[in-house]
Amino acid sequence: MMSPITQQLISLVKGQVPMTNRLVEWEYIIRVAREVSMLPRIAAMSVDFSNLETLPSYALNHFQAAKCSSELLKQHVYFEAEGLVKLINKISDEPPIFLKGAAYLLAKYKVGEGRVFSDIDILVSKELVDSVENKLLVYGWIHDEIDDYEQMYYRKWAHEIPPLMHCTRGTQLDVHHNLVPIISGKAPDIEFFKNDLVSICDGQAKTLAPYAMVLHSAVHLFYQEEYHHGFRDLSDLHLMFSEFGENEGFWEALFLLAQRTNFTAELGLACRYTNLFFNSSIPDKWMLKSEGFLPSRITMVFFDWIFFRILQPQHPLCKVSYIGLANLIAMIRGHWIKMPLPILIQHVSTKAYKAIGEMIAGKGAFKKNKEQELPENLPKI
Amino acid sequence: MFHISPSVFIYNASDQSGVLVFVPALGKVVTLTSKVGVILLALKSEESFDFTAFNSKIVEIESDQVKEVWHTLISEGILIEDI
Amino acid sequence: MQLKELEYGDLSEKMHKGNIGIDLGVASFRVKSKLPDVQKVFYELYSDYSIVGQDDPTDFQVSIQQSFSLRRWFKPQISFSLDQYTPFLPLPRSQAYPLLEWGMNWCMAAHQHNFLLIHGAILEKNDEAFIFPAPPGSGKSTLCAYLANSGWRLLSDEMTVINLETGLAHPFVRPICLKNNSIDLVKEWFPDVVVSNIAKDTSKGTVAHVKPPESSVLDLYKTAKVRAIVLPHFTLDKKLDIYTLNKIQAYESLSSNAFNEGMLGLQGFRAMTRLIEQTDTVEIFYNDLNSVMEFLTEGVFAQ
Repeated sequence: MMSPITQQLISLVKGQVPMTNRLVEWEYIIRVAREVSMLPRIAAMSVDFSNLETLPSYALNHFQAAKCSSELLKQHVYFEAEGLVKLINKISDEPPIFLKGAAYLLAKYKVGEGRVFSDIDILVSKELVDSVENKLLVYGWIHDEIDDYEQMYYRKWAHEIPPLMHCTRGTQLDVHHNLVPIISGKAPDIEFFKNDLVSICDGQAKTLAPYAMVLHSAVHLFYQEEYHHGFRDLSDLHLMFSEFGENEGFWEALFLLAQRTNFTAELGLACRYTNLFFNSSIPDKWMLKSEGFLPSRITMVFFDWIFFRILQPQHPLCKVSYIGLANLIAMIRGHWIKMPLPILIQHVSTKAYKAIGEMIAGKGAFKKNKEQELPENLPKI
Repeated sequence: MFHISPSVFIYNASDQSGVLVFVPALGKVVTLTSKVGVILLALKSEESFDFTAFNSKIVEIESDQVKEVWHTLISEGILIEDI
Repeated sequence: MQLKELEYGDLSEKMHKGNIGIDLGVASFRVKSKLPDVQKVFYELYSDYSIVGQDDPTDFQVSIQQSFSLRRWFKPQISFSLDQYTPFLPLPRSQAYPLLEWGMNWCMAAHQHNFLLIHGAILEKNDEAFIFPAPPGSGKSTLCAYLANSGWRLLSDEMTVINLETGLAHPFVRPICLKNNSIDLVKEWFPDVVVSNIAKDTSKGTVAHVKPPESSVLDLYKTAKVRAIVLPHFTLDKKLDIYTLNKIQAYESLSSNAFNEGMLGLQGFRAMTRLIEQTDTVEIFYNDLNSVMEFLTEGVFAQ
């Protein structure tokens, strides 16, 4: 049921060169990887000396080129991190906590190698958010234009302030005060996540403890409405399980945190699908315990039907049946778990209104910020 | 400073027309006149510095000297301190 | 197998399904389009290129398709995609072919980081290659079409490709994109060359593409040593004025035209500085193409 390309990508994430019959299969692998932002990751995981002879030069060339972009991203993130740390240290003794992609890189974890991301995420205390935002606004960070509805959404219901962008470098920055939207009613007491913080950046900044980082990643994955990067995010979890699984007390702490913060279902799903896709090394004892966290058997039949589809790389070459329907259900579920029903109806209808406009006027009509998605320095050809 | 690549790389043109400094952390190349270039290269060594030995080559200045290089770049008004 | 060995009907069917791969040396492209005019121009301009075998991979999978929206009924538009990704806003239907060519260049600039890529034409004569980096409006493409049809080997009209290890230039031979008045001039100078239909009101004005000489296409895998960098400025009242640039000026003019120097980091910096050390750089102000050609082959560079 899993497409051959998905299986080949799984091998590459594990650093193994997959079996191929024809060279053109490598084109398919590269295309799917490029589409789901996994090309630098599989490049980082599979290009080492033992593989150099078995990887065809076609694949190596694409991997080398992809490595250039992840190297540049790394330099860029370090540069921005240094600036942010200095800035926040000016207004508080509490160092910023980096989250997600930037944290993986700055902490030099394996999951950070070749991990593509478009924004830097930091977590600061709720009390500090306003002063951090004001300081950033003075030092060249600006808010993208957003409408009144979105402004209200962020300020009242979200777990972060509206996204910031640096006015000359274009870097995107999200400042969080919690990990999931307040409106969901599931936002945890964030102090539980701030135990055992790890020092990064020569001790000038922090990131979550490995177990908290894993739980955050799981919560993030199963709280989404949109799963275009679902496979990439699931591979994050696999790589973290592989890297942290041997750490003393890792599993105990992970499961305890999930129970304290009420994210047991998300942890159960994370264990289930990393195990199904990547055969991650989760000790039997903890695997068994995680199964107890899963919803009822009937719900799981339904969940498996959805997640087994949408967690595969999404590309026509992967030929996953009913992928459109699975995505639709996942989108509805993603909204559902984040918002109470009346607010959800209002939110969805605002979005639907925009979508209808696009259908009539064409995609371009609403794509005013398209240039920003293009790589920098691209002269007009 | 916790940059992964704190080094800077200096290129001294063979026709003495100037010096280029590649700063990986910035992802940028800074152009300097030869005079400023000499100051930078002099930082590399306290002894008399054979500038011509570096013609048309790229020289790496390592992390312990980078702070001084950055300082020089900033004091010359070539780089503006970001924050 | 060359593309021209295929019947047009076969090509049309293959392009319809996206089943045709074309070898451009440093990269290969799978091209998909259902639009008959795009198929026809592609067949004309790429007839001398080799087809990629059925079981061989291509680097970039591009398509030009009609955009799907209600708008297509009264104002049809087309869009370019690299596989599933659409980097640009849709353009009017009439610009389908130029968009394909520009989109293919974008694929290189955005993804092909195994080479240093510079926005500029590159041509070779007597085993010496000359790079003409230039912004639009400098007359670069006209000069390029002139030289390419006067016995010079065309390596590329838009994109100079430099090997990071050897410093040699790799060909990336493509149709030459002519703008506005130069379309008629080139047709007048070289009545035998194949020129595509014109597309009006593009972001560059009226454009047409010129088929590259077959000899240049056949040399797609032959690298060239760069002799000089020539910055052209078409200037009505100057027959030919030449100024020499020093290394730092050369670096700056080349760097401002580089697509991926920043992406390549230290490798890019090394490749750029090596290139300017190995070459001379001149800036020319001209209105007479033949004088430029004579200067390049018989002037200071000939010694």
